[in-house]
Amino acid sequence: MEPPIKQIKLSQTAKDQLTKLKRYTKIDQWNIICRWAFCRSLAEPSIPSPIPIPADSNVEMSWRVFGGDLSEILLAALKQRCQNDGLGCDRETLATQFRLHLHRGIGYLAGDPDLKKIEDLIALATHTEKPDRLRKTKK
Amino acid sequence: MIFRQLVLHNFGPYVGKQTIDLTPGTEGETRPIILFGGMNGGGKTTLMDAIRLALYGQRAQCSTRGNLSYSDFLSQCVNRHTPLGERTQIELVFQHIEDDRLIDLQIIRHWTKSPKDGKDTLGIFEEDYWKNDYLTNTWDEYIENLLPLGISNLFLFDGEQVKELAEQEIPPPAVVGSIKFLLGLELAERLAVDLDILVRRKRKKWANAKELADLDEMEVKMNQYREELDAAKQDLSSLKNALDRAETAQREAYFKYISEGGKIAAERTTLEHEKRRLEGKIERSRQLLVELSSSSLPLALIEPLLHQMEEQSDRETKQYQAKNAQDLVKQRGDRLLQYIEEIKVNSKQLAKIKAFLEEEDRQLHEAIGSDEDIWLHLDEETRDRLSILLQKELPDFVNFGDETLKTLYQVELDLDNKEREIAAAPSPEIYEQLQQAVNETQADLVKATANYERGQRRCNEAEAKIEALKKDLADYANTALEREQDEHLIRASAKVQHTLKLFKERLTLKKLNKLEIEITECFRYLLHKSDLVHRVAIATDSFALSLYDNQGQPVPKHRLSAGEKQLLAIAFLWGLARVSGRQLPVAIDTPLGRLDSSHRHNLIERYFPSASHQVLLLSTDTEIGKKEVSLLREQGSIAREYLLKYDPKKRQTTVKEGYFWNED
Repeated sequence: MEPPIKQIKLSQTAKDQLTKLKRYTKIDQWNIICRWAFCRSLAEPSIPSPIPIPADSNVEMSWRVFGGDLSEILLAALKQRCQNDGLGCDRETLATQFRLHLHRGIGYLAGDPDLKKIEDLIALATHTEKPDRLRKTKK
Repeated sequence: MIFRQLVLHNFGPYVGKQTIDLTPGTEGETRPIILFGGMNGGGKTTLMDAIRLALYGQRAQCSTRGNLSYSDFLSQCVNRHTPLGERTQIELVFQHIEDDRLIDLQIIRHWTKSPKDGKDTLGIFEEDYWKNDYLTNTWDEYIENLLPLGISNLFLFDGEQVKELAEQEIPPPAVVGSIKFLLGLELAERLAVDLDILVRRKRKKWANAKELADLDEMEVKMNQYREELDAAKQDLSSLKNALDRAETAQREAYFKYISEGGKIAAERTTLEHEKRRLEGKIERSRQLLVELSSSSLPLALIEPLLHQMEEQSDRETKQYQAKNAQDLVKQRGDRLLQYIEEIKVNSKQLAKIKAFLEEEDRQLHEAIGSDEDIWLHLDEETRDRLSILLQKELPDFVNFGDETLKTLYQVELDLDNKEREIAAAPSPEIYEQLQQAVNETQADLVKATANYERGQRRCNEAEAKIEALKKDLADYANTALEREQDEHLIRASAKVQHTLKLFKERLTLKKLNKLEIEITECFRYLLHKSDLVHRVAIATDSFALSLYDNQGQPVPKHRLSAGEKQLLAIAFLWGLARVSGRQLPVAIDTPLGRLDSSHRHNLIERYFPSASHQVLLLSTDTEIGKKEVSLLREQGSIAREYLLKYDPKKRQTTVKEGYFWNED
């Protein structure tokens, strides 16, 4: 299946946020954090606000690099989401929605006050309960 | 003491070696007299001089010496015919008793015309004539014990001396000295003088010595020092306690520092180590999580969406299959209608069947749904992947992530605990406090030690003061004692002086009494006018003689004739010799010059034989003439006779045995 976007170029804001996340999680690859961010946004029921997102950073990757071996699944998930949101599955919509979801996810992750370490990121997926004491003592 | 032999070598007028045997008496009989005959200038006096010189050397009072220096005198004594290379020598052998033993001593003096060092050479030879160096060196002292120079004039005297003694009112000083010496008065006098000297020395010593410190003052000082010492000792003991305390404190602080500080350090090390281990574990877990993050785990976030996708995919697949089946069913319906037409079924029935089939088709079509419902278009592979994801992969990853997180949280909790433990464990500040405590106690100890040492020093100083004072006291005691002794001595000395004076007076009186008696006896013995003098008195201070007659009236000396004076002098000398109690030879040189025949007879008969155990008699041919010699010979008192024969041409004297008129 043909990907909706060949090259992904992030905004400067997103880049800054990603840099922060990289520092927090010690994940040193942009694409992995982007995958998490994208999934994070898809998991959110609301439809992302259609805002213009500038591509003013130097961080750029291909869809293939972004998705890795999950490319097909992620694309299907995007379609599913767009379909769910009643936006249709045309190329244009998918490309737009992808940019919106990706940047919104990056924003969510970076803005999460509880996300300070890699384990906080993983816990988003596993729903593991963090002991209260750790939560409190963490700055 | 007996002179045994006189040997003259080139001495005075005597040329060559002249040996004179002086041994008196032969066995059994007493023959004290050795008679020398000689004309005037024949060398009689020289013989006396030789004996004096042999005995006293430089100190000898020889007749011809006058004011000559000793070396000049020695030169003068050398005979002018002395052959070159020969020396002048006098040998005198005498015998005396020493340590209850009769010993012979030989005095040898020799010199040359120009005596070296202006002196003669002395040699004393003992017994068998081996030289005694000790005696030689101490000869002057030795002879002074035997025959003191002071009294030698009383034993070796010549006519001149007798004349002098006879003519003067007061005896000459030499005789006075001899008299005092003989009477033993000299000793008392010397004792008095020595005592004076001693007293003067002591006085001088104490005149210079500073006034003795006051004993009371010393006592006060001693008490003060003792108090000081006590105070210092008390201080010292309290200081010692302080020192001990400081030492204990320091030791305890140090011990605590070593044990607790060490424990803290060990605990901290363990905790830190544990902490690092936990941190490492966390680090590894996080690494694992980072790796996990790159897996398909993020898809767990959109699991509902994935389920929807699966359902949609299933639906699409079914629709697709239904579409395919619909075609087949339609073909079969068409073929069925065709067949029914062939078998001629009435048209009415056919229409009914046709309607039924159309209804079926429509219903089927409706059931399949429209093409618009197909939009996901998942291929086979993706579908499989999705199915695996949902059924296995995601749950596994979630599980793994969950477990890893739980472990991580646990480790983090452990770490938190560890950190709490570390926080609760004694901090380095406590360690520092311990060290500080050690330092402080150390400083205290140093201070206490210094204080203690200062106290000790004070103690020592006080003790030293006391010691010094004690020494002063001891010195004081000694000095006081010595001073008291000396003062006693000074005080006593006055008394002693007084006693000594009395003693001297009494002794003088006693001795002089004895002497007076002796002299009176001798004088009366020698005098033919025995009633002339009843008593001879001697003045205690000047030793002047005064005579008293039978009536106790003084007889003025000038009333005596010259002969009588001479006799008196001889009596004086004789008396002295007798009083002295010394067994010494007597040498008499021409004593009969002015005596009449009666007095001469008396002298020869009574004096010479009994003057001493050895009497050297030197006489001219007129003094002891033919008659007198006969008398002496008859008495059997002559041991030897010698004639000093002078050759006027050669101006030499030779000694020959025999007397004048012997040849006749």
